[in-house]
Amino acid sequence: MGNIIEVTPSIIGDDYCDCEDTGVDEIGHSSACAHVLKSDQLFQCGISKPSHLTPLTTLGLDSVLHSKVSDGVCDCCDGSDEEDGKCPNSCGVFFRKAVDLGTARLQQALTGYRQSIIAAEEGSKKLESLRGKKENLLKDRANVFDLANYIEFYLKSESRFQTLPYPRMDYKLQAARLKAVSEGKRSLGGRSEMKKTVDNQLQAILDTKCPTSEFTLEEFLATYSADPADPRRRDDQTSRKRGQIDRTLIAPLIEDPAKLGLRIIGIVVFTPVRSVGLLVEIGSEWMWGVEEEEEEVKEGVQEVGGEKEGGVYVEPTAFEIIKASNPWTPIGFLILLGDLHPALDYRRYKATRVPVNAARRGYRKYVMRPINTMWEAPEVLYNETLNYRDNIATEPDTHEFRLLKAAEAKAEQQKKLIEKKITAAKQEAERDYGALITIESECFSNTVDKYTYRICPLKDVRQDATSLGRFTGWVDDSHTSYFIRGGTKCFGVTEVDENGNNVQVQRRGVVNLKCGLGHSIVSVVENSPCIYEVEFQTPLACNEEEVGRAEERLRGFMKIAESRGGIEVEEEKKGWFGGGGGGDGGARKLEDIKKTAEEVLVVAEGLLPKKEDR
Amino acid sequence: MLLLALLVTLLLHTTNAVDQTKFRTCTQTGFCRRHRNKVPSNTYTAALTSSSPDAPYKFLLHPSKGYTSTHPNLSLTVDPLSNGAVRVRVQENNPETSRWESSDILLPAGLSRCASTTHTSDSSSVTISSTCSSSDPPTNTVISLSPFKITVKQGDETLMSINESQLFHFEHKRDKGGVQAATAEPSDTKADHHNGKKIVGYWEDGLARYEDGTTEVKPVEDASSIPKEDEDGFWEEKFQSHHDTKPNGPMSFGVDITFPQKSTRLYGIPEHASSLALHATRPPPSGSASSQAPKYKDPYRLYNLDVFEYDLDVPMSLYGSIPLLISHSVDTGRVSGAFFNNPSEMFIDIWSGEGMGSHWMVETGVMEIFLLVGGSEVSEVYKQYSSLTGTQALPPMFSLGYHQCRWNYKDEKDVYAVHKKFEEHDYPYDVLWLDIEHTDGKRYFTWDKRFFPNPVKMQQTLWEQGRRMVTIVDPHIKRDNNYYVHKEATAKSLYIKNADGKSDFNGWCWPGDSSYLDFTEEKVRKWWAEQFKLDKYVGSTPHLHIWNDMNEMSVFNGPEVTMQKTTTNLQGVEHREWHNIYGMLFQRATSEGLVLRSGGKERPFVLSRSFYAGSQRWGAIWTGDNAARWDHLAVAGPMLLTINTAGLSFIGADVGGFFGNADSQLMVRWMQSGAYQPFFRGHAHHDSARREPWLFGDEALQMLRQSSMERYALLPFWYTIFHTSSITGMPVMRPLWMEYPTDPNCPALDHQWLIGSDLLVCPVVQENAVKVNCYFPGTNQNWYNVRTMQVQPVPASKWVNLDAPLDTIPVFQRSGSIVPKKLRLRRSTEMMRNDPYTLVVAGESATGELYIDDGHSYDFENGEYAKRRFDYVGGKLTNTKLSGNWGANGTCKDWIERIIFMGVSSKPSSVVTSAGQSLEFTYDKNTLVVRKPELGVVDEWTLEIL
Repeated sequence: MGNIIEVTPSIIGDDYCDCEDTGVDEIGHSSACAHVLKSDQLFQCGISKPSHLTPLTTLGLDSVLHSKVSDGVCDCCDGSDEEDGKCPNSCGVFFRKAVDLGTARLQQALTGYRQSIIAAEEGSKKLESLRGKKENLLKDRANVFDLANYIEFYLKSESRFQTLPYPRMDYKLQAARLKAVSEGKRSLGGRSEMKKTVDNQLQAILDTKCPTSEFTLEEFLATYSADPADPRRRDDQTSRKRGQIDRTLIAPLIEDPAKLGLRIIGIVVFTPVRSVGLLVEIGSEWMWGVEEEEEEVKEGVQEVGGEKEGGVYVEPTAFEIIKASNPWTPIGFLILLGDLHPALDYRRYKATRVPVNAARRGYRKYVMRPINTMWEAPEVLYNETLNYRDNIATEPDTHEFRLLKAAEAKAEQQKKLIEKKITAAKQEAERDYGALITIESECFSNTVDKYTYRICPLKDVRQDATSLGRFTGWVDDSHTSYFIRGGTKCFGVTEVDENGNNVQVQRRGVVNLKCGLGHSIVSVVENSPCIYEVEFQTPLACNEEEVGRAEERLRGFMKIAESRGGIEVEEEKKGWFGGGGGGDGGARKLEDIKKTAEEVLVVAEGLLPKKEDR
Repeated sequence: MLLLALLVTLLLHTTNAVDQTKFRTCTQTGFCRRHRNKVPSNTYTAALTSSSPDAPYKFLLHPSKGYTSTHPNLSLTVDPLSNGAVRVRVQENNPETSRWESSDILLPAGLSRCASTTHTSDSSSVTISSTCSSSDPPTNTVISLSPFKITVKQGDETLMSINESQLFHFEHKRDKGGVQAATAEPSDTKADHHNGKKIVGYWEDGLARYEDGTTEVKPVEDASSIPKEDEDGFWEEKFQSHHDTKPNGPMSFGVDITFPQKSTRLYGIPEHASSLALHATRPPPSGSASSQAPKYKDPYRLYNLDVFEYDLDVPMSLYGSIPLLISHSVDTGRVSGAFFNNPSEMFIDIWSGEGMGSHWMVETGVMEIFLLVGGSEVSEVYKQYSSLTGTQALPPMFSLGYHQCRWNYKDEKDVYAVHKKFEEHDYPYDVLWLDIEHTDGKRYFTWDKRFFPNPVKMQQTLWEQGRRMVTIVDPHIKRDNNYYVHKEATAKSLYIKNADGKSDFNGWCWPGDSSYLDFTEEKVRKWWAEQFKLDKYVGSTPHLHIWNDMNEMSVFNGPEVTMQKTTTNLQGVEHREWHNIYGMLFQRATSEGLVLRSGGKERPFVLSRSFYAGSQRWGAIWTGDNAARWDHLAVAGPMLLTINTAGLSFIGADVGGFFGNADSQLMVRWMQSGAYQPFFRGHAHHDSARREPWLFGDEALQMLRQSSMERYALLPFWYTIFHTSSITGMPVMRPLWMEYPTDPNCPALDHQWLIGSDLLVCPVVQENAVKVNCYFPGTNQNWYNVRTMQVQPVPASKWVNLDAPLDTIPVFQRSGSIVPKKLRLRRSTEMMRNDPYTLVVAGESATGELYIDDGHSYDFENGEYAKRRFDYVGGKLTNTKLSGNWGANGTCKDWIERIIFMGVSSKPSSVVTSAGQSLEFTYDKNTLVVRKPELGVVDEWTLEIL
């Protein structure tokens, strides 16, 4: 109601809630404001409260919620929450238990803390070795990759070298090989040992003669040398093949009976058509193996079989002209005319050159290409569908080449393997282990309630045969709990995923680490069906803060106990909830318990960094 | 393709909600078909045969012309009762064919006859005049002779009529004679549609579960199998794979009860997941215009059933039945009703034409109708009804607190953990519940020792903090020869028998093969009650109370998930005769067991799912397996109001919804609503996520806790209203029309309600709503917002769109009322016992009552209680004794710590007690708070505001 109340001493603690918004006038006095006070505004039992204790740890010991004041239940151990004489003072038993429990907890935390320190050292060593492993693997990778590259280069050059359809083209391929080898060597850089090995291999192969089918080697070369990333490669490959096939009709036919069969179909059906086309024009590249690059034709400069030099037109010799042209075709005839006198050369005049060239291009494109395609259709189809056979058939069949190919395959394999290893090593080395690094490869089983649980920290948790999920990451930087997800699907329980679909719930949850001795699952709570909260007890969770808390708590208990002068009351407090533990606390004398506690505290102090440092 | 479509439809059916086809409709039910298709006809003529002052008026009903060969003579008795109601009975005139009736429904005292009764007669009618209600004009019951018809009038006002619409039809008991009927034992599975799969069990949806992990696919009914001939369903009926043979043949009856033109609405006949005001289900039989188009195709059905995942807004049966129909007229403010004392299956058609009408179609049993004449006050009708079936038993105080339930708290550790969390969060609750899994293999009265090794210690630990526990005990008993209950029940032959009357019925429920105790038999109830003795129910303590579930009764492999109608009780009476009271009698036996356990000292608490007229005497009821959905939250109000309207007040819906998952918003809204409903329990299915209040985040936790705290603060008020209900029979949770019967806007209102007459609750039942439209009834009636303590401004329309942010729902206190509260937060009701009271006085003159007793025993019956009345008039508040001896010897220390006066126009100069003591006070915004008057609750005093 927000009444403005004049605060006078008389309204404080008079068992009437004057401050109806805050209830402050009755804090520590009565239950009159219990309905407005918050759960951390506590009634102090008739004993002093160490300021550093968190309210809930000492509930009942030195403070209670105001709703418990004078309700007939003895909540304060000294009974100060109820009217006089109603409750026996059971603080002695209570303190004994509390100090004993506190001591046990601190002891446990300390033992765990010691173990965790040792584990942390082991852990950092382990992490170091994991990082070293990664570095070594990275070195290995460089070597493997160099080798693989080198083999690749070598294969390129070697293929070229071995695919000499015409000896007079030697010099070009030779140059290419030398270039490739030097590039390969350059890439090897200073790694001389490896260079030597590869050089030797190379030399051995270079020294070997290759008596294989010229056609198939060339094809391989052609296929291989095209840039694999080039989208035109496929077309290119096809067109080259077509050209090659044009040139060597017989070779493919005898190489592969299947192809032969297919080709026969092609020959029977399409050869007559194609022959007519060829009669009209037989491309010079067909005769001489020189591709006519029509697109490169420049104004006023022509090359016919000869080399162009600095863009100046060089008069071809008659022989060259005859070589270059086939007089039995209309084009050959036109060129022959030009050979008789330059003025007769149709190529000199744009008016003649353009239409003739256009006609040739059009003819090739629109007449010859479809005809060729039809003619080759059976085999192209065959190659397209069974191209692996094509490869086998077209690779050079030398021992060295096979070795080389095997080496290449192995290198590729090794590349993949080492990449995998590196990824794994990287993950391992960069993984956030928290304090669990020393047990990350172990698993622990124990039975809680009716299930047997198996936890492999940072990996997975199983409930009997059911997976509750696999580690997916820490909840936060405190590294005190981590998520598990993707466990066994939950029968009959669905949820809505991010796409709005109804999906079966996969078991998941969090694993909370709890300071304690030994590694075991102490509780599993399933608040929602198939969503778990797993409490995993491990000394590795006993960190400095944990010890600090246990120490503070024990000190608090001791302080209260001291302030009460070791009251010994026989009767155990009735109705106190949340006690337990301590076991024989009732039987032992408070002094003994205090002594033990003090000893443990001394140990704790020695072990923990100085307060100022913390 | 067709198969696929079929499969898809089936799947859709099973995934959405209830499989409606699993339950019979009127057209699938012989007697309902026969009566519903009946054309109005004058079949009987009445003749007065006896008018002795010492006995009921007796008439002979003989068939009218044209019906003599088919219709036997019937006997009609009309008997005005001393409570003001008129009892009408019709049976066969031949005493040899007498029909079975239960002696466990009516209270003998309620049947005492009205002494001052006279009659006059002429050629066409007999008028019986009775004056048993001194203040009212005499009640005239006019029996028109031909056509036979009974009309009840008070003064000149016609209240209701029997057979006005001439739908009366009585099927007499007859011999099978030449009629050929199947002589074979009824066999439920003549055709094996299980495809040879081995059945390992049945589930609550009534479908078989097979060994290979699959579920039975429900066979599709062939609509053409419904016979059409005249005598259809006379001797034998088939529903799905179940056959029902009827050795006694057709014994049904049907009759119309109409309420005259002035009747605005009809209410009652729970339980249906529907609105408070009943919907029309057919046009008027007279052929006159319907003022309300029929909304439902089927009549309202009363046949207690375990309906798995029930649908909303349908007239289908649910878990309980109360054949009480209430009519209310806005014109006259009059409320009257009709109670059918018959526990067999019935269908009720409702129409609205000239006034309201109903057609009752009852499968068997006696036709006994109590015409509840009512009176000038609404409460009259409840006085009459409760004198027949009993008033609401005063529940022990703890049962009005918050109940925390879940299927299931799995072990003692779980129980302790939940309890501790409530403690830590300073969250009040009274009872922690254990569902079926706590038992050893669903053997009730046992504990699964793996999870509950120390049940006594567990209960004591909770009790030390004033908390109690409830365990579930169902009526199906596991057929296990090593189970002592089964052994004893078998040896003593206490089970319901098969149709042969000899062998024990064996059906499937949670434990697998189960038998069902015959609670219609007194000796069985006595035996059952013994089972709750502390030495018999091992592991129980005096602070353990009981929950009765599955008592419709639920039989997973039976027709409509219940028992075949041909089974018999120990007297050889067919199940069809007593189906609807079974659940109540079970709850009664349990309740009597708890009383017996305490040596007759302690009031019991038993929650039951099934109910019947009179269940109010035996404990609390809840609306069964609802769902965590907004529409289920919304329907909870209307359903609870309907059940209250039928005289059963201690009723609630599972907070949060049983099936499915409630998000924090739904949970908060439901808790807010539930805190202002009579029975307040959170419950959830085992496949639902855990729902304890702290699992919804801190913000939601505080809101949930606030709701629970509001409930606890109002407990003195709730308790007082329950006490009043236990005297007067008036419902605790009331629809607005009950307090404002002449307000034309009230009849259909069921989204808001009143607690007693003084608190108006407007819950929020829509997702994301932060406003709620609330109606403020009454003329010149002010309402105070209980939170701001200010008068709510109300426009002429009396509708206000109120703010309702998530942390609150609007609640108002009626100006003119005084509400007693206990504001101090405690962990449970037990701990509030000695807390001081706060009185909240609303308006310039006000009055209110406060009832106090020890909260748990029957000592109040010996006067160990205090009933006080507070009057605030002319600035003086006085406390006077109404009754009770509580505190006569100075033992009552209850005192008042605060009196809040809302609507005080100016700051008073002083507040003094009759003893001349001047009291401290604060005054702000028209609110006067008198601090620490320290006046005794049982003392006579006056406090004056000067």
